[in-house]
Amino acid sequence: MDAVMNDILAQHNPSSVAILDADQGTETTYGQLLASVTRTSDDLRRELGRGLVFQLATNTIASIILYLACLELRFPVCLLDAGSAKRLEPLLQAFDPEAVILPTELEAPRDFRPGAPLADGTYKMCLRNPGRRALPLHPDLSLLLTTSGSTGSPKLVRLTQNNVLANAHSIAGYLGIQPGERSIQSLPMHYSYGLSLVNSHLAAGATVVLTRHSFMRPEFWGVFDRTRCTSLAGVPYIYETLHRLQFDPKQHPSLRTMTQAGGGLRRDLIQSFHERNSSAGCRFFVMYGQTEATARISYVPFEQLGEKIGSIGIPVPEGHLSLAPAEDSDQQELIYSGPNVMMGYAETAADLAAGDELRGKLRTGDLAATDSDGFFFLTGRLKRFAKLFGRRISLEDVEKDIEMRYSIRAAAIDREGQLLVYAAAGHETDRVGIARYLAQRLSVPPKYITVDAIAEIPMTASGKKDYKALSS
Amino acid sequence: MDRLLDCFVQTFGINKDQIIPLKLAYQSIPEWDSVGHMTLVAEIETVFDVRLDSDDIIGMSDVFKAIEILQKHGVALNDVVLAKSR
Repeated sequence: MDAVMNDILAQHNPSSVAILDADQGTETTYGQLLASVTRTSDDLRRELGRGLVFQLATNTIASIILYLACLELRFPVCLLDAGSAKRLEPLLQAFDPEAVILPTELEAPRDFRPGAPLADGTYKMCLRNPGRRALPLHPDLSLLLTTSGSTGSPKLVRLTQNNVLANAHSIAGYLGIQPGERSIQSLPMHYSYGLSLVNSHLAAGATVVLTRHSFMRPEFWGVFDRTRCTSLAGVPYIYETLHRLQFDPKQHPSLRTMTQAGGGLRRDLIQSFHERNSSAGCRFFVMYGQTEATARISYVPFEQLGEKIGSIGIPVPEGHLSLAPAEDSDQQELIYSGPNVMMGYAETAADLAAGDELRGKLRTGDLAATDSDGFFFLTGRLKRFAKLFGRRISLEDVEKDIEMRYSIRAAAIDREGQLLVYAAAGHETDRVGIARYLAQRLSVPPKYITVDAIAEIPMTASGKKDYKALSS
Repeated sequence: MDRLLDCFVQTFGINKDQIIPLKLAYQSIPEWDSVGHMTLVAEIETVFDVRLDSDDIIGMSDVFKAIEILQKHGVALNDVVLAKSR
């Protein structure tokens, strides 16, 4: 017990700053954070007992305290985007949580009682109406994350307290995060990469800097410079945007480290950021990971990036990468083993009682090769996903969703970062309607979704959809 | 002006009557987030054949700003429509 307190919070100088809210101008020291997490976990234990919690997360102090309190108590907490509360309904139906923790200004979901204030009062907890039986929950289950904004049946990644702590220490280790560092929270907390920023910096006794401003606003960079942030994390579209904005690390003298994950960045941009960061004395880490491994799987040591452009690097400390023959492919599948590998997926409330099904070994679904220095390179994907703006979208889920909703046959493919859906229907396929529906459902600009009508979806000899024929 | 409004319609998947120049601004609708913003920039650059610099991109925070920036790049938009919507 007390792993989060002992392992993360109590290890550090109680007077050093854990969280700096730049918009409010408030600092929370490790001593204060420890006290707040203790108080909040007492409240949760009293009000709730162990039960499944949905938390609509925001990048705020209250949100971090609540998350840490749940993690400490091993109350399974599912972190969700507070900005898309309307997509909550299917998840509520599938998993039937005991409580929903959400910002005070948001309305309690249907079937939940109006909430009592929690943490610093900016959050409240809404308990489910009484009368239903409590769910059996596996004793180790502590954190649930969504894999992406996929459509169709909701799917959660089941993680333990140990997964989170192991990955946090591993990341802090290879990035060499020191207590004096300040990391700006440029990514949302419900997203595994965003959460890993919080976890790894708190594990290292460093400071997490919060702002509501987007990285592309001058206000964000005002905060960055004023609070002397030392590191910035970004997914590919953030780097693409910074490139468009002619980002120059030299203009931000406190910047020492940039990290990139959440999908492959174009090689020319890796090269370009490698060059501009090197000349500014700023380290640039290209990394790879999956929510299924809590967050991080591998990284390219920044000194070697110049010779390893396009590589996903070497495994994180305590992790191991290997290759195994892949089904339906003449290539090799990337296999990751480590203490941060999830217990398994959950698609229904009943799955939350299940134990560790993966036993530390994750088939990534990515095809890969390795070079003579032991660096890994992705060569393709076994599972069919589109990657839009760092978010993974299951093509199979998109197809199922369209087929059910419109009673037509559909095939979805990723065409150069765009989602292309072939809809097969004899007559009057509502192409615009389908595209609009998907854009909303996936929260992607409609421009990135094309729906084409096709007479018939081509099939292979073995009766599967022939994606090769569709792609050519 | 119609071509500019179309950029907003195309990028955000909204209807034309939702484009209220003083109200439609960066982060005023869920669709106009940072991803939507860069999509809008790319769309405007394609449609009007202009290359926006970083100040333009950062400054383009609402519909009027977009009009101003395009005018600075020598794109003539229909002022009548603009006056009416003000």
